[in-house]
Parts: sequence; C-alpha cells; structure tokens
Amino acid sequence: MIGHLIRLTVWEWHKLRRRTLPWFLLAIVVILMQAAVWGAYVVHRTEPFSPTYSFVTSDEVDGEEVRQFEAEWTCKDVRGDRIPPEVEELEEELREKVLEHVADFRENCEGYEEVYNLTGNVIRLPNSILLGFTLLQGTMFILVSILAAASLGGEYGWGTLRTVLTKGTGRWQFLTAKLVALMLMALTGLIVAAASVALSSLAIGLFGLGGDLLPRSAEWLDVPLKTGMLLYSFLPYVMLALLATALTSSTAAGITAFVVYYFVETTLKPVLENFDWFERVSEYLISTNVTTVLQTSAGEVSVSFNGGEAAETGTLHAVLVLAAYTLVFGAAAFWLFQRRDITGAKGG
Amino acid sequence: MDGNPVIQTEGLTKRFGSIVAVDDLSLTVPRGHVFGLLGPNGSGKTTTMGMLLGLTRPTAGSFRLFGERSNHQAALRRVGAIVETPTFYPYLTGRQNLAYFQGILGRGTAQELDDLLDQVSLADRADDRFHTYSLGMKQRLGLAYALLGDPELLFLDEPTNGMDPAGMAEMRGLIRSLGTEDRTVFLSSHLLNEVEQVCDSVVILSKGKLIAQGSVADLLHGRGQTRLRTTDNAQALTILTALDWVEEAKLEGEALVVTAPPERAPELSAALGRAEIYVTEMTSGAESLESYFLEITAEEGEAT
Repeated sequence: MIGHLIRLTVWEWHKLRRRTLPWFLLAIVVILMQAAVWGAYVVHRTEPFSPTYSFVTSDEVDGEEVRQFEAEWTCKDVRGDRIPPEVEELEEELREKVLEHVADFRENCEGYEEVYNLTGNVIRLPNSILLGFTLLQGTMFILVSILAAASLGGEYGWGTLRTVLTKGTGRWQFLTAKLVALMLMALTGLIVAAASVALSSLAIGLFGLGGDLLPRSAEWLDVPLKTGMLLYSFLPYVMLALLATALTSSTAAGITAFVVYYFVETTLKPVLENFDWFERVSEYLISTNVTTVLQTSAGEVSVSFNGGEAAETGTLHAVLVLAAYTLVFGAAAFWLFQRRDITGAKGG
Repeated sequence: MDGNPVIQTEGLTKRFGSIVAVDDLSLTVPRGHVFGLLGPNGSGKTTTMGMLLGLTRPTAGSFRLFGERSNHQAALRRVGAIVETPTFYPYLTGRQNLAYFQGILGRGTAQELDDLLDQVSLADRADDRFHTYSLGMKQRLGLAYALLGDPELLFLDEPTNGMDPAGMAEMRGLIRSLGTEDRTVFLSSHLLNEVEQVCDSVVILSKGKLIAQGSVADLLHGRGQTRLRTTDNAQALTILTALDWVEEAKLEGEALVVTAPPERAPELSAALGRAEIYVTEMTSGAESLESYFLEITAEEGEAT
C-alpha cells in the first residue's frame, strides 16, 4: 500500500512538473520576491523618503542682501559624523554657524535612520528570505489554491480521471498522492524562491549595505520554521479548493471557493469587529490563526495575513484551529471524491 | 475457455433520479470470449461498463470481476479499458501518457511501450502531444493504454469510433486476435456488422434491460427471411401463417416476406403447391444481426 502511494506520488509529481501552470506560478513568486528585495535595496540606496533640510544664510553688504551660503541636505548627507563637503570649505565663523544646523538636522534624522537601518537589514541574509515570504504570503496562498484546484479540476476537465481510475489506482490513494505532490511542489517553489532571494542578497552584499545590524535580526533556523509554517497554513485553503473542485468537478469553482472565502473574510471582518460577540468568532477564523502561526516564525518582519490580527489565544490554539479546518475540509473532499460518479470530460 | 466467468452481475441497477439507466441486469461473461454489448443510444451500455469499472456506483445489485466481489481495485489491475472517447493528458505526448499509466501500474518496460505503439500503428506519432491527435489516433492510443500490463479482460467502448474504413478493419482484426483463451474482450459498439464480425456472444440491451443474450450463431439460429412472389399472395399469406414453424409472414408490396429457418425454405414452396398456389420467384438467406437487433429492440419498445 505504501509502495503504491509513493509510486502514485512520484508519477503525480512528474505529471505536475510537465504542466505549464506550476512554472508560471513559480515565476510569479520568484519575480515578486525579487521585486521585494531589490525594491528594499533601491529604497535603502536612494532614500526617497528621507526628510530634507533647506538652509540659506545671507548678509547685508552696502544695504543689499547677499547670500552667503545655500544648501539642501537629506539625512544621508549628515549620517553618523558626516559633514557635507561644501560646509568644510566655509570660513571658520560661518562654518560654526552652519554646523549647528547640521547637528539639529542630524537629530531630526534619528527616526529616519531606523528606517534606513531596517531596509539595510532586511536585505541581509537570512532576513531577506523571510521578508520575501512575509510580504508575499497572501499571494502565495492564492497561487497554491489555484494550483490545487487546477490539479484536480484538470482531471475532471480532460476526463482523465476515468482513465486513471480504471487502472485500479484507487480513489483515495490517487487524491492522497495528488495532495502530497501538491505540497511537495509548494515546498519546492518556496525553496527555489528562497534560493533566488539568497542569490540577490549575496549580489547586493557585493555592492555594500549601510546601516547597523539590528538586534532582532532573524536566525537561519527561522527560515525552515517559516517555510514549515507556511506549508502548514496552506493546508486549509488547499483542502477548501480540493473540496470545491470535487463538489463541482470544475477548476474555476475550486479557485472561486478560495477567492470568495478570502474576500468575505477581508470585507466582513472590519464590519463585524464592531460587535462584541465577533471577538470570540474571530479567534476561530482561518486568517486570524494563519496570522498567529506565521508571526510565530516571522523573524524580524511580520505582516498580518488577509487583515487578520494574531489571535490572542496563542500559537497552539492557532495550530489546532487550522488542523480542524484542514480535517473538516479534507474529510469532506475525500468523502465526495470517493463516492461521486465519474463521467466524461467536462472540457474545462 | 474455463468455467469461471470473468464478469457476473446480479440485479445490477443504476438510476439517475427518476431515469432508470440500467434495470436489474444479470449477465455472465465467460472467459476467453469476444463479448458484445449491443443496444440503441441510451440503452445503458456505457453505464453498465462504468459500474463494472468502478466509475459509477450501482443503485442496487452487485457484480463480480474474476469472481472477486470485495477487492474491486485488485481486480481492476487485471483489466484494460476504453470508455467512450479515450481521454489522456493533452500536454503529454502519446508515449509519455503511456509511460505515466505504466508507472502507476508499477510494471512494464520501455520495450513494452514500443511494442504496444507498434501494435496499434502509432509509433511514428508517439512523441507528439496528445492534443494534436485525430480521433482515430486517440482510439489507437486508447487501445495501447488498455493493453498495458497485458490485462486478462478488456472493456472496449466503441473502439472504432472516428476511424477511417481501413483503420476500422485493422482494429477489428486486432480485437478479434485479442479475444484468446486467456483474454476476454467486452465490446460495446453501435456498429452491428462490427459486432457480428468480431463477437462470439452478444448481450442486447434496451432501455437498460437485457432483452437477449447468447452466441451470435444461437441468436440467429432458425431465423432466416425468404421473399416470395406467388400467383395468389393473399391466400399464400393465410397458408404460410398457419405453419407452426413459420415465425412471421407478411406482405411487403408485391412480395411475401416469411421469417423461418432458412433450411426449410423448400417446404414453403411445397406447402403452397399443395394449395395450387405457384411460386414465381423466391430468394432466401440468413437474417443479419442488424435486422434481428432492429426487430427485437422495436418489439421491446412496443411492449413498454
């Protein structure tokens, strides 16, 4: 039995990797993660959000006002003990006066320096990987659900389910193999995306990064932990997509089920939060618990998932709630798949 | 042929809401036969195959494959099947599709794939993607798929559908050669001459019910049609209808059409001669499966 399941999973993997869709979805993840890292780097280098300081001093000569010195600085110009080069060339008296302004501006830049340090820090390994995972986790949930729905929906659409099952494959064994292959593909996607981000971080490192290393920087151990938590968090949504696909025999319906659930949570939560009774309900929503699970392993960067605030009940509660959703959706999907009649190609 | 049937159904029934697709079907398919499943559209042929292959859940009744009732999955591993138009992964080539199914079966070699592709005359297009195949090529790939793992029982649902005449003849020859002592072919087709050419035994379904079963020879035994022209057709009709071995006699235009054993055709002439009615023209021949089929399904339609 185990040998049969492994064989089915291996061949399911072969089949999946020959489809265009997984490569397309992987390309989206890699491109967006690269955009996140290189975007952080561009912000770090160009400092587009730095406050500016305009300085003009003038003197009266023969009744006319004459400009003595004029400058505009950003925080980059006064970082650390740096003095703008044009100030060094001034006469002693004027130089002392300008340096007082430089010191004032440097104090104003302190808040911004934290941003500067943070952008420099998130580009460093392994923070950059966690940054990519965290910023794109919402997108990844959508892509994995699309892959899950397409993987099962394709079999209905092409009519290949009939061809597969008449070879004595076994229904639950086939669905299990499909699920395992899907999760392995998601894991591979995360590894490839992480590797691409790591390469970019190393390349950026060659250009040099400024800023101080922050004490809360992530450890390397956070990367597999975050990867595992992401995969675990995918499960309820993957099961929901499989359930909807098995119910309707349609890829589109599988994707729609995820999208509808996702957006209903997003739009209804802010409204319902005005009611006291909703607080208890919220602790049992998928997004709330996904946020909790993912923040457990977020390292330095953490972002709420689908607008969900982390559940105050803790990680164990969140893990159990997600397990319950996975079991309920999964059991329903397997039950339906096991019992329903298989007809010809649905054509989509 | 041994005494163990490969397929046995008992009261097999499938309902889709108020529609009864298969109604209390009990049949036995012996080993080593080419067994035909005949019936007009909507008679329940594909639904019957679907139930036997585990694709459709019976509403009532039971069936056994190779005598196995409990382990259907294990029995299916000894089966090859094409149900309706063969469906494969469109983004894979013909060879990759076969390799996938060989892989999940867990037995077979690359040489077996080459041999099968040769056998169904698809070797030169084996490395093209399935979505580029014509219907006839899909049928050939379907047959190669069905033959993977050297199955003991083949379910073939309209296997020549979409083929050109030469391809159909080739496929029929192949099917005939597949029904050996060790292998049984369960064939459904709407082409009655095809069934007549390749099948040893036939089951005829109408509106989900079994209306006739037996070997093609037995079903047609004693059934022949003789066309006569006589000097007095009206009186001849009365005389011939009274003969107990004549199944039916009727007037068709200027001729009398008599359904009776073809070997007793001379007795028709003698019976009329005794009444001084003379035969001016007489042609006689065995009834085809097609006319038998049309007749029996029409009778069933009238009865319900």
